[in-house]
Amino acid sequence: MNDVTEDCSEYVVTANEVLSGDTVFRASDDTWVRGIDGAAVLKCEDTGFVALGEAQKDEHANIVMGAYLVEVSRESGAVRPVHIRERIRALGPTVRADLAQVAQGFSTSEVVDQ
Amino acid sequence: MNVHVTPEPNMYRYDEFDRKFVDARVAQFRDQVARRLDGTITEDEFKPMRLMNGLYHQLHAYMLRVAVPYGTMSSRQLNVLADIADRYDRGYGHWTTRQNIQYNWIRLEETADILDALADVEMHAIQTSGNCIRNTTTDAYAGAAADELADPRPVCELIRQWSSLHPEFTYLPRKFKIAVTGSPNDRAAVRVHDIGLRMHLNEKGERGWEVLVGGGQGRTPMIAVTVRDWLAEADLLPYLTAVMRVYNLIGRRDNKYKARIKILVHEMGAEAFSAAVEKEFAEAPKETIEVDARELHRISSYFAPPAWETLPAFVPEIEEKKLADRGFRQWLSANTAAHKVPGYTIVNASFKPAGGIPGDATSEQMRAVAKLADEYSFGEVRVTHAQNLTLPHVRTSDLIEVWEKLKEQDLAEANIGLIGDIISCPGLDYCALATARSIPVAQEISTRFADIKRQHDVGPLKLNISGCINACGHHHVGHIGILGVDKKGKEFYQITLGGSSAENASIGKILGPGFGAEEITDAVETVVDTYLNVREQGEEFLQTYRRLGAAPFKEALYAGN
Ligand code: SF4
Repeated sequence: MNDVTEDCSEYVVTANEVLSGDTVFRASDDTWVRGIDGAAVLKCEDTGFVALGEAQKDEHANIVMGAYLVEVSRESGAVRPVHIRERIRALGPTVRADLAQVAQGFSTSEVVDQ
Repeated sequence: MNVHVTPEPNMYRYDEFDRKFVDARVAQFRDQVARRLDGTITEDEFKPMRLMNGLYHQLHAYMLRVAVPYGTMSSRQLNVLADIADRYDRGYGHWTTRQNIQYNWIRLEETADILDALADVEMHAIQTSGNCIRNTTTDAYAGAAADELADPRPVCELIRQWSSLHPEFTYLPRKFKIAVTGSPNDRAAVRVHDIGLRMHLNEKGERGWEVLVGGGQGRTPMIAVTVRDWLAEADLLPYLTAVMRVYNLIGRRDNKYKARIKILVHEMGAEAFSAAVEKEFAEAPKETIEVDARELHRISSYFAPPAWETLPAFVPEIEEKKLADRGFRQWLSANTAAHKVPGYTIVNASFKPAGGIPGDATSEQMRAVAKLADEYSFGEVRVTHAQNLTLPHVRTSDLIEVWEKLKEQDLAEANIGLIGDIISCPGLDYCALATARSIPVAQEISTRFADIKRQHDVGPLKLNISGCINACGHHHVGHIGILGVDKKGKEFYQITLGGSSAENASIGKILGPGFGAEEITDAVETVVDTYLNVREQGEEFLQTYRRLGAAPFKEALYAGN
């Protein structure tokens, strides 16, 4: 068994909705939501992979595509991806705040200030 | 009653075959989407089908790339592109460096409707993706430029028809790009394409083509080599077929990073490659040649020049305005180009406002340019590879009005060919392959150099930015190139200097260690200031770099580190 006590990061499951192509996150009630704030946060990679396995059933059902785990951290209470690519994917283009998830309550600087 | 009739420009029109083919493809794709949505086919099965129809999936959503064949379109088509932006996207599109348009927020279920709307105006999204021959590009000033030998677009159209779903060339080792220029001043970047064609005239005034092969950008940038100095126009398709056959047969398929024709030409050597092509060409059946010549003649008739009037070359009001109004003078010198017919001028609409997103166009701007094309340019518009639009045939006497109307749409920034006219790929803000953002870097640099007088003092300077090594932002051929990389999770930017996509093409050289996102604009400014300090009278940035090399720029950027 893995010893995860020392470094146990947090993860969320993400994918893209087939119909719209939009970025979506797996919520704790096993539905898919558009904002990362609604995502179920999974402690440690092992837990993440279990949830990912469940989520992939929705890939087979053609609801979403390309599900994977994204490492996140807490910033002022909010769940945010660690890597900039995933931050932009979650929160939207940094250059069109009007079109990004930013319009739904995030600030542009949040996307890039790490 | 006054009925406004939209002028139909002289450009290629679909024949019955084209129309049936495009309609059939839309119907086929509609069925494929339905089967994807009902679960009959998986994403893995669907992906190659959607890519063949220009539908990518990017960082946030589906992205549709629509072909604008060789960058030429009518105002009617541009209006439809605007309608698509409003109805199916978020009110804007993005001009690409292959003279196409991309929409960033497309829904899968609506894609077939969009393709239908495009087919209604003889457009499609085929061959904008995949390992096929992509949209052939050419000089945005084709058919209008004072310096061209002849309009290259009939040959582009011939290539389009020959390459569209060519059964032999649908699954090439990699994607394949062809560019054509009819002018000795290369505005089509032919030397950094898989095949570049450059028109020449012989002593009898007959047209022939220089064939260049093996150029390209990406992770292994190379300048094309000339494999034929002169090819009679009638031999063009058999010869291109021979090049493609050699590539298709012995181009590498085992490693996608070594699969472009440039690697084959490099590994075989130019002479051996040429010999293989000549052998293939000599063995090819020649009975098709006559057919091609007839077809080229038929196609050429579509590109007959518009009904130009006989006009005076000298327009006193324009000369007076030039003297009186510095803004107009700057716009005239940067954003217009000499037309082949006296009394006409080529006008560029700059989609590069200071601090703006290079190449992004709102639906309102598209409609405004379409209206200007109707009123002032025989209904004709071009997309440039530098992500701007061109009105090719504007009466010189109309220039003040056109300038005023472009200003109303924020499309008159007097910066074409200057440092504010930055080519930038979408980068990490949109692109799933990106390693760093490119648009914010472009925005910061164009803001820093927002002073138009300063840009004009600096003179011609092409600054190109890519968000990863794929080089869609053409950074290798920017006089100043910027490549965004990921360094331990942080965005980092490498500077290259000395690139050019013009007739004297060169690949830029990396200057030294890269810069963080917060340092890159200062670094660019240091490069520009250094050039201003060391340039000789009348010397452009590239000339100074070629005379002095990288030393003074390195010294200015890295001394003391
Ligand atoms: S250069 Fe890279 S980041 Fe830019 S559009 Fe091309 S693939 Fe995307």
